[in-house]
Amino acid sequence: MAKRPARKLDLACKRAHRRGVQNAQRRAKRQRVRAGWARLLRRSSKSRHPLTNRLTKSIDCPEEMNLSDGYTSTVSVIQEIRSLAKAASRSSFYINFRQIRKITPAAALLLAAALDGWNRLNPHRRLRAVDVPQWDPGVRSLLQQMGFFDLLRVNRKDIGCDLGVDDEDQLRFLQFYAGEGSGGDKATLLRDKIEQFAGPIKGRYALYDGLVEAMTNVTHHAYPGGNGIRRWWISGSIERSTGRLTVLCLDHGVGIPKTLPRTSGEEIRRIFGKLRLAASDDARMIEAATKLSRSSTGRRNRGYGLQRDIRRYVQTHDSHGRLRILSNRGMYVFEKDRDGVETSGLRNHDLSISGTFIEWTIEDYARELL
Amino acid sequence: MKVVNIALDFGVSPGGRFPEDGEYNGQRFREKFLIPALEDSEIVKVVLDGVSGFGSSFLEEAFGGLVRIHHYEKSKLLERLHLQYSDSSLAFYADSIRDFINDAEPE
Repeated sequence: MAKRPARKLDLACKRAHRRGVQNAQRRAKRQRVRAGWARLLRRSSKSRHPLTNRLTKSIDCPEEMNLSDGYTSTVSVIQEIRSLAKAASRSSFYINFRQIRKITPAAALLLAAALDGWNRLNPHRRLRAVDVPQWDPGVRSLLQQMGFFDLLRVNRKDIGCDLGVDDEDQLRFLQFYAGEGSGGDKATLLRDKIEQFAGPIKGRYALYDGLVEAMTNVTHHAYPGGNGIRRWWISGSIERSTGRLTVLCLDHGVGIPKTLPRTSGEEIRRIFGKLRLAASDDARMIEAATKLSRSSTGRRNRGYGLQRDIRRYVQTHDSHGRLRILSNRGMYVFEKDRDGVETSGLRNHDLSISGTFIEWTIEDYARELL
Repeated sequence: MKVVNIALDFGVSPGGRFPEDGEYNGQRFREKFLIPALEDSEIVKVVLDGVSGFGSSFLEEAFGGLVRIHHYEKSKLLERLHLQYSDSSLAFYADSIRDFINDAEPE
């Protein structure tokens, strides 16, 4: 396809901008409606603090926390916590975990990262868990396995569910690790933890490579401008009943859609998206990043990580595997079924995850022991 | 012949390109281990066994960097480097190293 001359490109941008200005009132109204929805979706309200019994701003976690059908309610809670952490709010607030009945490892890692972020931004105001005995015991146990309570000031005896390694629990969350850099040592630790519970796994080298490349990408791309923090969080889970293995990597960076250099067509889509004349194209930008030679550096020898290593762990398995990448509002899913058929899909959400989250899921890992 | 055992001489958890990525990065491996070995000996045996894995960034920076930055001649370099492994799963890395050397262009 012939390239559009720069002048035509300029005219297209100007026309888009003009149209945007003409529609300003309509946009403002739409934004007011959206803000209203956002307020409703934000789960904060006022309720009695369990210790002081004072009316306190409360962030209410939903009953089910996940990044599938519960995406909006889960992400709105996470965003609320992260906003409070950034604002270094001195006012009292309370996060209500008691309502959670079901939580996925993805949502748990998002929560853990939000609390870890709080601790780093507010080192002298560490959050305290005050009503742990009233949390759902199953949820409490899973969060404990992930190391969630290490982030909070908590009375150990309140947790009351110190499960050992040999427990026959069906679903086990794995200790999360956080750090900066390529994190090879942490990737090895997490993989060892997985093999401690699941036995030797197929594609153990590919799993390490995927994790290390995801963390290296965080260091190189996720935090441009750099305030010195280039943090990532990794974890996973093993579900014995279904044979499902999940591995996760998360960062709080600017997101793939903001770092990947855009083609002229993608730039126009971005402008249209900003003017609310078109839907967000974040999902498409994630997909573009998984293609070789699309790297924020623009260098020929870069950009291998997403294209080769991050996808390869799913491809090395004979069973069904799924790679899910969420970045800002976008979601890219790559799947390989038992017959080796590869498919991919895109979706955009209303709420941004404000960072990048990578999830590898392997079904029936036990069938594939080495 | 010089032998570089990555797991024993360098580290079991290599990853990343540059020093900012951590201690066990590709640039450091290239500069502190590969280049001195190539300067010392015509044939360099690189043992891949014992590592957790590599990641493409590490391999490209370490081996592709020999061509890109230090301007080693590709075909000669491929003859001089003997990649050794006993675990067949590591064959992927040996192939990747060859690919990265072949794809690299002197800067």
